[in-house]
Amino acid sequence: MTRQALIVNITRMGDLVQMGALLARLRDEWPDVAIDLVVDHRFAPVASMLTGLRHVIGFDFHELIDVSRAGVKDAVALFEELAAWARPLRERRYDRIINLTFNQPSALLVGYIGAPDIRGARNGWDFGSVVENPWMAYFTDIHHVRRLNRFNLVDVYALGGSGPGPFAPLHLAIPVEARDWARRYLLAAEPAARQWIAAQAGASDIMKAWRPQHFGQALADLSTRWKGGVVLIGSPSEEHTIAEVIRAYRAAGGQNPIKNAAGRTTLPQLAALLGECRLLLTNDTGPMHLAVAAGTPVIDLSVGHVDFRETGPYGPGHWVIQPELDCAPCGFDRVCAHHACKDRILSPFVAQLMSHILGSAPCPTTCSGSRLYESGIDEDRLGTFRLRAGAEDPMQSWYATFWRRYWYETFSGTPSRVPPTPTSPPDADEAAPHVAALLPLLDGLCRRAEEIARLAAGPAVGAATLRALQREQRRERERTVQIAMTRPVTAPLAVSFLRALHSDNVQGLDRLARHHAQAYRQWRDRTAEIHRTLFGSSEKADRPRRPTMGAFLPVIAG
Amino acid sequence: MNYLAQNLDGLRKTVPALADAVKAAPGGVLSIIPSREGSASAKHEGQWIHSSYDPRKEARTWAETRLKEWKTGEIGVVLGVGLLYHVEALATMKEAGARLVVVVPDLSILKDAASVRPVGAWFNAVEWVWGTPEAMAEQLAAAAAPLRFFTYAPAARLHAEAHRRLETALRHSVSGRQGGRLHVAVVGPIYGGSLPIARYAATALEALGHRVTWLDHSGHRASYDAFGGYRDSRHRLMMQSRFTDILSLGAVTHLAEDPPDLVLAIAQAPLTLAVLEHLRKKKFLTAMWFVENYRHLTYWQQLAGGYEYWFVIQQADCREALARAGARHVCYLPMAADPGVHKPLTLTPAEQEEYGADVSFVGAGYANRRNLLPRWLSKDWTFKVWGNEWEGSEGLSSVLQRNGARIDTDTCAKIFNATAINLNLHSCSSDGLDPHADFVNPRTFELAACGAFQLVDERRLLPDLFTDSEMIRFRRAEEVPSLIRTWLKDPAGRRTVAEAARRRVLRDHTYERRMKELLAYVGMRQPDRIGAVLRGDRNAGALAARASGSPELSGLLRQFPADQRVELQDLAARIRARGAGSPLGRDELLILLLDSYRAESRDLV
Repeated sequence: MTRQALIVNITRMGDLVQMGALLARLRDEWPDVAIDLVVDHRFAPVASMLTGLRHVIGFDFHELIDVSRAGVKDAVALFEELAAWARPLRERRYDRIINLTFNQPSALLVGYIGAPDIRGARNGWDFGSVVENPWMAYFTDIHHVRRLNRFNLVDVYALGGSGPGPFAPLHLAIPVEARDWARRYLLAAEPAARQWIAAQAGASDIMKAWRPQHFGQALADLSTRWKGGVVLIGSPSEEHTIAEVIRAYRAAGGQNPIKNAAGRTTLPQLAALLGECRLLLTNDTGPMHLAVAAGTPVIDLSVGHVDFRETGPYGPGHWVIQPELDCAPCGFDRVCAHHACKDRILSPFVAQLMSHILGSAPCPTTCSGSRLYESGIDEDRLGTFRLRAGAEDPMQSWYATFWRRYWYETFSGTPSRVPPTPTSPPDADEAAPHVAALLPLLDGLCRRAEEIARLAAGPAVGAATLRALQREQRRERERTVQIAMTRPVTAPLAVSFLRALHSDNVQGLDRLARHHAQAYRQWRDRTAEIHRTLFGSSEKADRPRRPTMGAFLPVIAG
Repeated sequence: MNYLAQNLDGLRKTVPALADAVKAAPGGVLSIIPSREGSASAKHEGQWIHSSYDPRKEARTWAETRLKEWKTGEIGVVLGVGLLYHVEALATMKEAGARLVVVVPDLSILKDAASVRPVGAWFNAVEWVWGTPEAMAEQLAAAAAPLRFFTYAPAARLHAEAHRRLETALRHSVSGRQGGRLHVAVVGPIYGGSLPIARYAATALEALGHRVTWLDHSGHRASYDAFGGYRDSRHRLMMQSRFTDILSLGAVTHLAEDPPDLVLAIAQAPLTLAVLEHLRKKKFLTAMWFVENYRHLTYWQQLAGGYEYWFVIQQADCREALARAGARHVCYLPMAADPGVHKPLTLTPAEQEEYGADVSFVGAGYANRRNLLPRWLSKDWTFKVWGNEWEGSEGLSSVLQRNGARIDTDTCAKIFNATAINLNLHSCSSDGLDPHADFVNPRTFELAACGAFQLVDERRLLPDLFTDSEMIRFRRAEEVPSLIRTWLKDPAGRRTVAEAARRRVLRDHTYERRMKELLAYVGMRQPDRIGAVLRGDRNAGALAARASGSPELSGLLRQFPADQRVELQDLAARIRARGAGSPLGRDELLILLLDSYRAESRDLV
């Protein structure tokens, strides 16, 4: 019987390209699978280049926002239009829905369509949103412990939407006519230029854009040692930024031909154009993923609130430069007053790296103010980044590797091939007593949670007694979470616990109380396990040795 | 070949009265000229009414564009007759069952059209209205469905005045039948004469039952003034301009958090062109009531294309200038008064003493006032001048009150009430009377609303607003002293005129009336948005009737009073009000989904 899967991926172009590994993994899992995709109609051209999709189901969600917000149409008209679009999806009876759009509307849409197996955000049985599947839940946890994350979203999507499997590079089937167009375009632009590189100086958010003048200077510097053309890409709204790049390029003595293609291509033409280039110098943007999928090496300038660990170029052959700054990457909710990270990346260093990729210089081994990473594949066949120049915080690095293995084994239920961290944590002297002090607090929380569950399940209990216990539990929980969040040895578990606690898609007070008690138990057991593993604890022997998928899933799925 | 008889025979079967009237019309208004492709085209006074190459092709293109606007259930109304190629195209391409009405201000043109070519079945399927503009408006107003106007400009320009009258009459009719509750965001200026107008407009809209969000920028006055304190005018302008930009973004943020049906800006509102274009792109409806003399304040030139609707206090020249500058819809909307603010007062003897005089003038010291008012001083009457900006006006120093301090609204009303003859001299920058005397200032209406007697300088637009028995006008400065002398001696006559003027204001010239007309104008052009709300089509009862195919939705709608306006947020709030613990139905999920998108604001701010 043909299995049917629906992927909901609405908001961003880059996210579409990033689900390439998921598509491959689904075909491994169910060779006869028919995969449909719900996408914003603006990005349907990108979706049409993805291989293995049965239907690309576009909807103009931006128009829906404008029309509903400004009251262009009344509630009945809006409802009927949306229902006419969504009803056939419900009637297809998908076996699995994978929601890669982590927002409330998509959760409601997924709830409306329905499927026996839902991965990602969906509506709860009443009003809330819940995240199904541990990998998808991890996606929502990342932002609280970003610096400890070592999973690329491409892998999170593939592992969550399907499961472990062989490495699958990102890929786009670029139409022949688009490729022909790109070749003609470059030939017409500068017949003498036999090689081209591309640069994307703009970004959807100014926060994540390196300065245009730095782009111009780096490209001018490159022109002293490499002869070829530069094609500037971007959206029509980035014309001003591109003009600044060209101005800086000329002012710095740039000699190579330069061509502005921003806003002059369709998305397939853009992918084809990138495919014709020797490399792409870019901020962390959608076109970066297009270039990766087109097989073009990328230099990702990872500034502002973007973190290349999450959204950087996937698979081997790409490079990332990240500013070395305490606040980098900053939080999504931050409004930065200094943008200092953008000046930490020096244009001569970028020029040297471009030369290296173009084969005319060695790889730079020293860099001031930033770090250089090369992308690759790790022992678990997941994307990774290896430090090539600069230095990382040893403690952060140690714990990031540790949690990378821990979560992989916990969520996938299989041992990781990534070598374990060779030594004890750099902060072992403080971390061990910290965890030891936390455990009694967790024991107390578990006892109270069990008591609440017992009372909630029993006959007519005094509401006041229950409320008093819940108040006490909440107070104690907040205090314990605060303590746990202070050290990397416990913070990820606290984040995971909070999300699990609130993913309470169960009906009835007694079930809710049992769900909460289970979340507390899991938090305590995992913390105890970490203590044992890292510090050889003499914790009681009756605690489970290792949480398994079986133990974890009910908490997530309720 | 003349096809008139044959075409009228067909028409006589459906509309015999029209067939007879067309037959009786003289015809011969249009010059018929063959087009390049052979069909008849037409010219009027040297200008083509239809394409000289291919009128049918041109008509199809025109009709295709209109069809995109034409919503199911609306009656299409064509303005512009010509040789009817465009009507034919629209009639043959329209949705089956959709009603199409053609407005015929001049039967001679219809006779020309019916004479030059055979018409098909569509000719008898369309509906026709003819007669005076007011009669046609009455027929259209009687239609039970919303009207969607389609203007075929080359033919419509022959009857611009008739169409304007029809539109005005229809607007009056529609404004009298408004029912639904709109949400209007009124954006006021930082300071100036339009600030009280913004307040009056907001109050009037609320009195009409609409929800008003008042974006009051007057609190920013001190900061704006502070930025004006720099010595270098470039610095001053740059800082004040940037400050206005910030206020403009602030206004958008406010609109994003509580999107209105209509953004109504009053003159000098700090909304920049960039912000207006952004709002337009995001489908917000914007309107500007430009309560300024367009000849003196010319910033409308930069903003003309930014607002969807312009309301102006001047007529033809102003409307044409705005249209040339890119304004899409321009409508004449004169000033008015708020009878809650400007009203007859019973003054104490002390107040009468303080504010009273035989003759008074309240206002700022513009050049023409500085020149003319001293000429009207006399030992035969007491004279008081109130207001600011009179510095250096030696001839008035003896009569200037409160050392030229600014006079607030309440004091104004007391002065108007206490004075026997209020002089109302429209400002201008020359020495005499305004050479372009067209618009009527707010003071005219405010004085009248107070039941106060006034002598006002003649304005071209005044006779449409007040009759001779309601308003005494002077055409030359020299007439004023004798008018003062005459009317001072006739308190009963003054009272008669003033009371008549007040009655007229209460009947025709209140801000409530103006707001009704403004909304009717927008509603006629947005029959599926503002028009639908005003007609009550977005009330729960009407929506529930349409939602009969979705039991969950119609059931939800029936939980509201039938005459209550219901939008997505209301439905979503009703679902959420059930509280956690209630399972959601599938249709309810869609409603919550739609409401989530509706609440999105990141793309706006």
